[in-house]
Amino acid sequence: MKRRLIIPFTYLCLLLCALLFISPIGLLLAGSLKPDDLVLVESGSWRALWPASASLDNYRDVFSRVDFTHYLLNSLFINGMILGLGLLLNSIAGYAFARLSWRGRGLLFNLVLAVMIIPLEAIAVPLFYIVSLLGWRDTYLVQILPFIANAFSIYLFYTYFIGMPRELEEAAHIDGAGVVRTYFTIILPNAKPVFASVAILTFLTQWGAFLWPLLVTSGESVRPLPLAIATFHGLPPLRWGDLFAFGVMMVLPILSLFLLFQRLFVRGVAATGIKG
Amino acid sequence: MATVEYVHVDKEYPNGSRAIEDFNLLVEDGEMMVLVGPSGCGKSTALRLLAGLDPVSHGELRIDGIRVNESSPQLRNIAMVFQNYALYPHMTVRRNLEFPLRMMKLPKAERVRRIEETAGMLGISELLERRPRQLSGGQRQRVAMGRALVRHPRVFLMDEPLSNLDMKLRTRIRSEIASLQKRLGVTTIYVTHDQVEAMTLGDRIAVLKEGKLQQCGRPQELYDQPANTFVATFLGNPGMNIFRAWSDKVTATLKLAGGGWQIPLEPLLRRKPILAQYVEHPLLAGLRPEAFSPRPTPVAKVLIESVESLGHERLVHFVPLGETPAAERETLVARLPGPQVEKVGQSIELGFDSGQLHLFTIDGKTIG
Repeated sequence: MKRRLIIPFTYLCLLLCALLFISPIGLLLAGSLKPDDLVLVESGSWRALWPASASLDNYRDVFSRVDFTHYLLNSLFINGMILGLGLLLNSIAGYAFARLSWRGRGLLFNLVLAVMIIPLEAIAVPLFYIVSLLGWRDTYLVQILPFIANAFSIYLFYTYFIGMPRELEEAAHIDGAGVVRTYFTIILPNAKPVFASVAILTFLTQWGAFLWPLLVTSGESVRPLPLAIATFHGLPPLRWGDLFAFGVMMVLPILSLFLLFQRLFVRGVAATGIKG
Repeated sequence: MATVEYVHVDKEYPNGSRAIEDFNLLVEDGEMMVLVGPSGCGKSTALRLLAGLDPVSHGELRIDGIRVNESSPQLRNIAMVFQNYALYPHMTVRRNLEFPLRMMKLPKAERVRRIEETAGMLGISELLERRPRQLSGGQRQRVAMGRALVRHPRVFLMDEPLSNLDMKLRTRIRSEIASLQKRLGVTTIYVTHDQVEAMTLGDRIAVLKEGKLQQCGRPQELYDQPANTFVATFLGNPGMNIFRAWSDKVTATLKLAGGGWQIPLEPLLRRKPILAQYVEHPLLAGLRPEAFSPRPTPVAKVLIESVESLGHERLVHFVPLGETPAAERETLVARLPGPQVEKVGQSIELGFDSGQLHLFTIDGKTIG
């Protein structure tokens, strides 16, 4: 009898938790489809999650009021570069730490682990000073370069590679493949889960980056979406529906990336032992 | 086809531990050499050194008389089958076989010809488009061998390739490997910890212990004339019984197992004159389980401790009832034909063929 009650109760609790987590996204989506005057009026009731008279007017408004495409392309370019170069560089570093033997490997790896605990906020000012000296302010480069090498990504790759059977590489060496070819033809195709995990985690962190772009950019030409939404919020008249539509369009790329690699991401999380 | 030589080879790790010590071995052209020994004896290390996966600390490795210590694995033209097969999981069987050929930069037509030839020879033609995860253990094993053979290597290395297979499949593939090796005549070095595999596969066997070569020779030679007690106990299942012996000058007898058996010294001295040096010295005696029999002399009273009946034969575990105190008695095992007739706790008379008696010094080296 007790068991019969526990299972539905558990499901009910899980359902409530799921609703709790989904509700902000639901609110955002519903609000983006409603006429602007209803967004705040209905926000205190269940109607907040239900767009009775749905339209895409708010989305059209966003495009007419700001150059959304420009900011989106900026964000995609900056994040694409961080992601692409980061995956290549960090995976090679992780592989070198996990598999190659070289002088100073242990010391350098400990340094990488130590760097993981330093937040960007702590080094933002000296970093800002350096990039100012180099004359990199207001460029794409300044938003990309400091974030390519990532200690946490290196650690995730290291964890995955260390668990791969060494015989695969040894077989490749005997077959005549050098280190570089072994990496690209044998290791890389067998490490898709960790690549998916690192890609999603990097994208998640970088897509919403606000502090650093705010420090190093002043003109609109190289600014990414998080700064654009802040500017858009301050642009009169304040329209919540438009702001919600902007938010939805900003979330979409990261949501699609996650859905695309969800299965691999879960496998990667399991293999590298990441916990949320 | 090639000869392989290990000349005073050492392998020392940075922490100072030695996996291989002063290892000398000559593998003849076309020979199947089996390296056998317990875990950690250095047999896989010897293979890895030859493959070029680990560097040699001291000594020289030669293939066809040419030093290869500094050559890359590919230049040595050696192929290796790993214990877990190490097939590339993301490639089909065809691509797995093709990979080493691509590395050799062979033209496509030649690659295709070799793949078809090897697949046909190993009976894996119908598996070419499958991926390793879609294959059974036996099929994977064949593909791993195919990937090694497709290169037409000079030397073929196999590192415990059957240990992941069940007993039935292992027996079948063992005989397939033996006949394939004979047919192709490729110099092969095969590593195993299984003495049955070593005895059945090897043209010659090299027995290793703690990084040192104990003995190398034909399987029957090692079985009949072991160089020391380690080889004697390692080969054979069960291994040779080793127990204490004492040659008594006064009675001119050799007392075995605490005096349970006594045999005249004279015929032994005639057969092994060097034994004269060990008279009045403690010795070790060795008898294979099949040397025992209820009939031949000398006969001694023994106490049955347990009996394992195998249907056509039985393994009788017993202690000889000599002058030795009960606590110091050694348990021996005899292989007797036919079904079980003894009872546990029963005392029976058991003898052995003295022609099959082995004698060792107290530190385990064979005498004579």
